[in-house]
Amino acid sequence: MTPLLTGSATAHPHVWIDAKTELIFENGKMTGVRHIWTFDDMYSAFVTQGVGKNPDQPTPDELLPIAKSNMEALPEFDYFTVVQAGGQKAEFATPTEYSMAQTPQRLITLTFTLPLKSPLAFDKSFGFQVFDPSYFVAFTLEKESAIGVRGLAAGCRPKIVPPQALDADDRKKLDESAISGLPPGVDFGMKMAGHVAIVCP
Amino acid sequence: MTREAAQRCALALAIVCGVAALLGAADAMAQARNPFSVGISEGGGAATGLTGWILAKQNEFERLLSGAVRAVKSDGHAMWALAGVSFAYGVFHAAGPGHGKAVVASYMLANERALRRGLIISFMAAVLQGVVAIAIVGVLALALNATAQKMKDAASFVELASYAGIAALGLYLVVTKGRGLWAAVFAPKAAAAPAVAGDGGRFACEVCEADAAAVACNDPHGLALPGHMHDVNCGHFHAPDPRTLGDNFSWGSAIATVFAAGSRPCSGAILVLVFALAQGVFLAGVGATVAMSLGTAITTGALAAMAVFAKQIALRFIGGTGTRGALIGRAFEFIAACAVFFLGTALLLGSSTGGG
Repeated sequence: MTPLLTGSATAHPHVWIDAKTELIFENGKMTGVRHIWTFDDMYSAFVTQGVGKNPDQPTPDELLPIAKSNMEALPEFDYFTVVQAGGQKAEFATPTEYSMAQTPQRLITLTFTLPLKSPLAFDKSFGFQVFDPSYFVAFTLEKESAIGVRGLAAGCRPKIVPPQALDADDRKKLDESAISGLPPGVDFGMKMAGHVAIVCP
Repeated sequence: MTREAAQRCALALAIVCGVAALLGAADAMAQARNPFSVGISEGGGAATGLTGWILAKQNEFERLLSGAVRAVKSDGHAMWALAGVSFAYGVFHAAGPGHGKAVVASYMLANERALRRGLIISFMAAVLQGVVAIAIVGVLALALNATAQKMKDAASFVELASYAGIAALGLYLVVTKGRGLWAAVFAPKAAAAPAVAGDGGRFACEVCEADAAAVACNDPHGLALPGHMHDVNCGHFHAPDPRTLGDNFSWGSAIATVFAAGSRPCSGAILVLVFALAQGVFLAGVGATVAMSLGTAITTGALAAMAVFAKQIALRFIGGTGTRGALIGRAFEFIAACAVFFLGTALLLGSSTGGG
């Protein structure tokens, strides 16, 4: 398994998350992200340890407090989510509709909707990422089928863009940024780590 | 090097040490605990080249662990496969970034000369790491059926205690090594003032014992080292066997090093133990953790050996002879002591503000 959006050679994760994501648009503007994160078997066992009356099958009610504490801890990490378009990075409001459940394979799934503070106009520069910059968690979002696009024109579909090598111009910007201390531009993280774009007909 | 230059040099070193500790602490304060951690902060960041390769291997082996635990459930012989995977994971995990190795290596640079002692310290630290993980999961999860949050809290507490331990060990090393450096710098003066000869002599003696082959200490009269005072103790207290294991002074800080470097359990061990418990094969998890510890011991041991050899070689080449050699040796140890102190302070402050 190759965590495409992080680059496996750079990771030393202890937790693996298979991410499924729905990108939600209304009237040509992005309004939110719906995440469904499935944890690996070892971390799932850790999460459910000591939870519930039947330790083999904790119920969503019994798991809800854990989902809640995750929602409280995630803002500090920007929900491991980056959304940007037109040179602007989206800011997120408090998550809604969060829940946690155990699959028949005894894997834990965390589901939540992440509304944008203000809608972000969609254009060709749109990019989406889910990753942990510290690489403690390895997110895999390997297949385009794991990404849904809701509310855009029919035929608009997600496209996974692998990490790109920086060209001379980019490198120059990066050097300048190292000297000036100013960020090199919001799309740099996207270029270096890879991202999800949306292609419309 | 003139004495004035040496004094200025020592002062500069002390200032650098203090500033580095403060900067590191300020930097570390920005850290926060990952929402999906198991209570232990793991080093982060991108890595390429050799480190990248090591991390990729670690990643591979950790992913194999859960499958190997499952296999044990249906076939006891699969325990060997689990032990093998765990051992390999331990080797690679210890080779990746992490402060345990840094503590052992810095301590070896600052203090230890005997390779055998270094290997024992590394081994004990690795074993302790496994024992702590087994104790946390065994007591909390197995005996008390505590939740993940309780285990996280316990692991965080142990981690904080180990950071405090590193800082304390670092402070101790900075003070003793600082005095050693001071004694080496002011040695010519001290020789003329017998009042401080006892203390100064002891440190100077340590240099001699330390690198008998490397620095020009092999002159029985210490004439090659003008600043080197042989008091009565030096000859028979240290000289017979510099690698004596019964040396209390060193063992105190050696045991402190074992605790500082080894009391913080590794996330992988906690996860494999809890997973084995969930699968109803807790003992397989214990076996895996022991194998992991042995793998870790091999890597840290190799690192400790490298630290000892590197120090000897560095002192042989740069050291030269006489006062200069003694000074450089002292400065070298002092910098390594600073590194331990710096690491401990940074980890402690980073953890206590960002933790939770």
